[in-house]
Amino acid sequence: MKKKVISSVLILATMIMSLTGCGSSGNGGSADTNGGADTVGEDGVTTEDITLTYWHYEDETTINLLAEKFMEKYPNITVETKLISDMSTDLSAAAAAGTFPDVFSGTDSDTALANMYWRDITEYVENDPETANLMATIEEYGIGKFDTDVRYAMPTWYQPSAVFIDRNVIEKLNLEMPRTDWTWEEMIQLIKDATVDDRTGMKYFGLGYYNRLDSLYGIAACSPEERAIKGEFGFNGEDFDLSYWAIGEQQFADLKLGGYVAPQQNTQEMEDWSGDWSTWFGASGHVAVFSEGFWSYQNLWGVDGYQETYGLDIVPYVTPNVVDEKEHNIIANMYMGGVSTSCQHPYEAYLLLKFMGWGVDGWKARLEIYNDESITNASGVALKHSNMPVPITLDEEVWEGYKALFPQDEDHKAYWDDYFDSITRPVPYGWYSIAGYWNFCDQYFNNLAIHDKVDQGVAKAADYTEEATEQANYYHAEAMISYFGPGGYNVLSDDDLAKYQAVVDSFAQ
Amino acid sequence: MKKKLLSILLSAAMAVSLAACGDTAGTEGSTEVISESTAESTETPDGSEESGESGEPAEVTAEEIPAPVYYYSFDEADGTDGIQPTAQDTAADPILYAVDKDIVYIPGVKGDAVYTDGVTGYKLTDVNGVGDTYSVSFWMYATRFANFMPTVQFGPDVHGDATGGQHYLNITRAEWNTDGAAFPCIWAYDELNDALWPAWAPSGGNEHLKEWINIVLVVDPSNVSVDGTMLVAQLYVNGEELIETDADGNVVPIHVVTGTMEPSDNFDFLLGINYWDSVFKGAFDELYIFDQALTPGQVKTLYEDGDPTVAYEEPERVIEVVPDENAIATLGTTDLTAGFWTDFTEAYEIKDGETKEVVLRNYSDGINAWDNFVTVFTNEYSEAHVDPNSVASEDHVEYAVVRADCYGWGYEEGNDEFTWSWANWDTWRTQVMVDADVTMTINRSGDTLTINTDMVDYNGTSNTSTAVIKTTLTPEDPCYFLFTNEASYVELLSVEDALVIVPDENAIDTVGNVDYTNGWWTDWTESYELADGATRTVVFNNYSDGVNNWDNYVFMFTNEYSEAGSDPNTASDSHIEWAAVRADAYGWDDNYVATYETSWGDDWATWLEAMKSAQVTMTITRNGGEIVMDAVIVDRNGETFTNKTTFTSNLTAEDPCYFLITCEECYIEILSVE
Repeated sequence: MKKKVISSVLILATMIMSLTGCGSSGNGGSADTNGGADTVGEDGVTTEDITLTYWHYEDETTINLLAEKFMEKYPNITVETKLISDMSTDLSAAAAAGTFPDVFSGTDSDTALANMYWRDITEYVENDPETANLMATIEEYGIGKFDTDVRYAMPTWYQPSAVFIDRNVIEKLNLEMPRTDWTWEEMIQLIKDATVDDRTGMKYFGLGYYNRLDSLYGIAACSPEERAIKGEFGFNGEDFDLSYWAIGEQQFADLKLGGYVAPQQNTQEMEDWSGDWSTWFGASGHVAVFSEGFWSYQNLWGVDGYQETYGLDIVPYVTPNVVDEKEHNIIANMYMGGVSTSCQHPYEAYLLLKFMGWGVDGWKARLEIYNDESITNASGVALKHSNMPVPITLDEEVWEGYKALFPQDEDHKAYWDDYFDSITRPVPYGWYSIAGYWNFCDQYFNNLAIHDKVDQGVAKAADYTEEATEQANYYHAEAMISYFGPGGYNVLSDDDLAKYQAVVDSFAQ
Repeated sequence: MKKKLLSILLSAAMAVSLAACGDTAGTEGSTEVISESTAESTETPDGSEESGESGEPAEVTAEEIPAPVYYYSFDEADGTDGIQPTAQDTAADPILYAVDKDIVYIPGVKGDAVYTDGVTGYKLTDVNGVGDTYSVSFWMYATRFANFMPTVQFGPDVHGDATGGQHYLNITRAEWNTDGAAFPCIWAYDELNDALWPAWAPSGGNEHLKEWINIVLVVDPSNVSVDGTMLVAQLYVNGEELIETDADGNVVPIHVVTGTMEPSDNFDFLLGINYWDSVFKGAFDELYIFDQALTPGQVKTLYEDGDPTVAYEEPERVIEVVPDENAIATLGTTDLTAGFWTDFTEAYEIKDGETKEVVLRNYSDGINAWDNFVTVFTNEYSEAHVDPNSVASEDHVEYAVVRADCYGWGYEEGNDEFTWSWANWDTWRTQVMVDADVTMTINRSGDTLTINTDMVDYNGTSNTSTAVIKTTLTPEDPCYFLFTNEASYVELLSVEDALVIVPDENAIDTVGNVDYTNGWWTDWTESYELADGATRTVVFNNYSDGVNNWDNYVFMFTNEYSEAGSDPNTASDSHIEWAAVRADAYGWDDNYVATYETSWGDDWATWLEAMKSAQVTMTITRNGGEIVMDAVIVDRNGETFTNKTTFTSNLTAEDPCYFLITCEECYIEILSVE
């Protein structure tokens, strides 16, 4: 069985490599385009000495150590890494200078697609047995395919949304900890119940937020039977429906207006509440529920002594679903990584991408690095406290090692186990996975300052639903034609083209 | 002596190895701390040798500093001349103005430092520009930062009042980098020189909050940008230069515009305050201005002259009770010792359906939440300083007693509903109410009394509360309210009928919200054509919150029709905005040139008050590309104001022209357009 797999990979790699010599877009690269087919080993990897460049947004020290591990595995491959400062600027400059990276992973998919920076890696992914053991939504929703049949990217760095609860606050307020598979309404009710002003100093707030609740709600708004939401703003792969978002938006605004949400850092409101301008509500000991980035635990709450210093007892909760389903989607940050169209060694580049992203070997290397807290980055921070991602692979060994990086004591382990079990259906924020999403936000949604108006009570979210849905569909359709139509990758069928063109035409009228 | 020229600062001018400095501020991210490179190798603590070319910091030797042009020790003993406490009011003219306020001193890195309380900053009134070769050095301690909050900002025309073009350099905190807010950032602007607006920020997300930090900016005009349009500055933090590199390792130069230190009659040298942004809170110490570019060794000397380990001491806030001669009544005594139910204002009648607006100032001892004003509702009139119970008739009824701290009695238990905006009662009690400007609206409707109170603290922050009390009142019952207090001194400033917007049923269109919560560019009337040679007359009611001059009607002139409630900018791809003309004699757009003739002159306060509720008759006449707008404004008291605006822009006689009305934090009723 193993031999068969290797053979298929070898054949595939040989085939694609021979094609890439013609397909280069001239963005750079210096390797011999004719080399490779006759100089690959049994594993399909070139035996020549080559250099691959990897550009990324992760912790620099972590990636450099991983690159070393990769080079140990493939001694003939030299990996050069670079931290991306600004994806659009850096990549366009590299393209102009002929120094385009072989592999890059970043936050702005529209930039990569609009410029056709990513090449087709469908065959690599589909013939890679490891990809069969990834979180289900990646294949189910075509994350990285951008609603085409072609895979341009794979999610690399993944961090799910998370809700955290301070158990100490719950105890102080004589409330009950909710069940870990709670529903959306149970969360909202807890936020309200935990907002307590007993006229003695600092008020207790039910919610402290980094992520707006509407982002969380939009993914968890309904059952798949009602609408198979696979992206923000009610996106189901075909079109948007912002009526789902509007419910969460309004609910969140009502919580803010109702005094259930803690002040933000560096505001007069924070100084008036906590006595200190720069207090973070997560360190106040007066907030019960947090809609926070996963990194807040890793980078702050999870650091030795932090919770003790501030009198906290933070545990994670799954982002709840409106429908009481045990397994449901959650919104997530997922950097998209791909192999560039100019890369001369795409198969090796794919292997590097996998190693850095979802590959089991790469994750085992990561676990080694994360477990050694004597290794620190330039800021002196142990690497597991520096934006450590969550595995996308479902490999049991990897997950066993990963879970061990989090609290294992009797009081907390069950919360973490339940949480990790609940994050296997990630749905990326729109800008990672939906063509045209960023333009929609940048040119329409944010221009209207909708969040501000609804938060201030000046407008209702529902007022925007109809027009915003039309706008979102238009931006998406326009981007699909631009990126994947004849002027772009040219992979859309005539039917698809006509479908998107109809949306654009309809909008223009 | 407020200012002294330092002749020689020798004490610290000795060789000190960098390793001894210990402070490595700014080493996060790709920001490197480097010092003057020397070719000589230096001895490391472990005895090994390292080369100055190896990338390791090289040794810098402290050097004697030159004589500064200006030096402020900020020691109390040196006096306060030239250190002017300065406040900012963006709705006022001028925006920055001197305030009569004692300078507060706290321990600094060397002697005393001046404290800034987040309400006012300082203007160094003696400082003028020293030319394009300069160095500015100061110590500071920030207890709070906000985006673009100034620490030191200076320029020959910072706000552009004298020349029409802003021209400044601001050492600020900004969020320009993806890794978070950072300080110090350098932001310069020369509006009249091709609008050059360079900005530079260190990476690493370090704001240097709550630490004494020495900043030195060195500008040498021989260091120019690649394109020759700007200068390249050097920035030092705690004696060490900040060098920022991009992803390719190239140094990111600190560009500054030229001329920010040119002498000027309008020169501003500001500490912790500017014309636009939040006011700094913290302290400043040891400020030098040189007319030469300092060497790294001299910068090192300046750093070593201060002691950053000095503990920062937030000064205790001193509340000064200053009786207001305009008060129509007072309660209690200025020593804040009044007992409960010992002093009273006159009682004011409030009829069913009426809303009264009350303005008062509350000084409290801050000890108890109830040590503040109290509102009492009865059925009888009583005089000032007379216990209403002592003169009460047999039919005397006390409908409700409502305390400032959202507590009441005198009605059936449970018949009240209190809400409040503040989240910390200690802050409200000890920071807000000790010196608060209070505005109340009291509404009586049937059996319900609704009291909305806005308590504005020394920071200008609103603390609002609402009390809804169900009483035994019937519409026919007489009702009066009066005030009493405890452990406080209360000045009643006014009791008037409140401004209540009663929507006009005959209005053909409205813009904005009756609660003035509408933001800028959120609502618009239909647009009306203005043909060449035509005169149109618009009559409308203007209701404003009276906070800012611009919280009133704004006329927009465009080239095409747009519907009511629709953003005119989205009308078509060929949309043109000819001009925007505000009620407060201000306008803009390409080639907009206007003259304004207002009847209120500089009395903006009176005009603002009038615009809270006024009927405006606007006559607009177009003669080719010139438009004349004649506004006749009649306020609620019958006072008339006029404003004639004449302007030209890119509009020509051949162009189509339409006008519409929009507004911000304002409500407008269009009564007719003819």
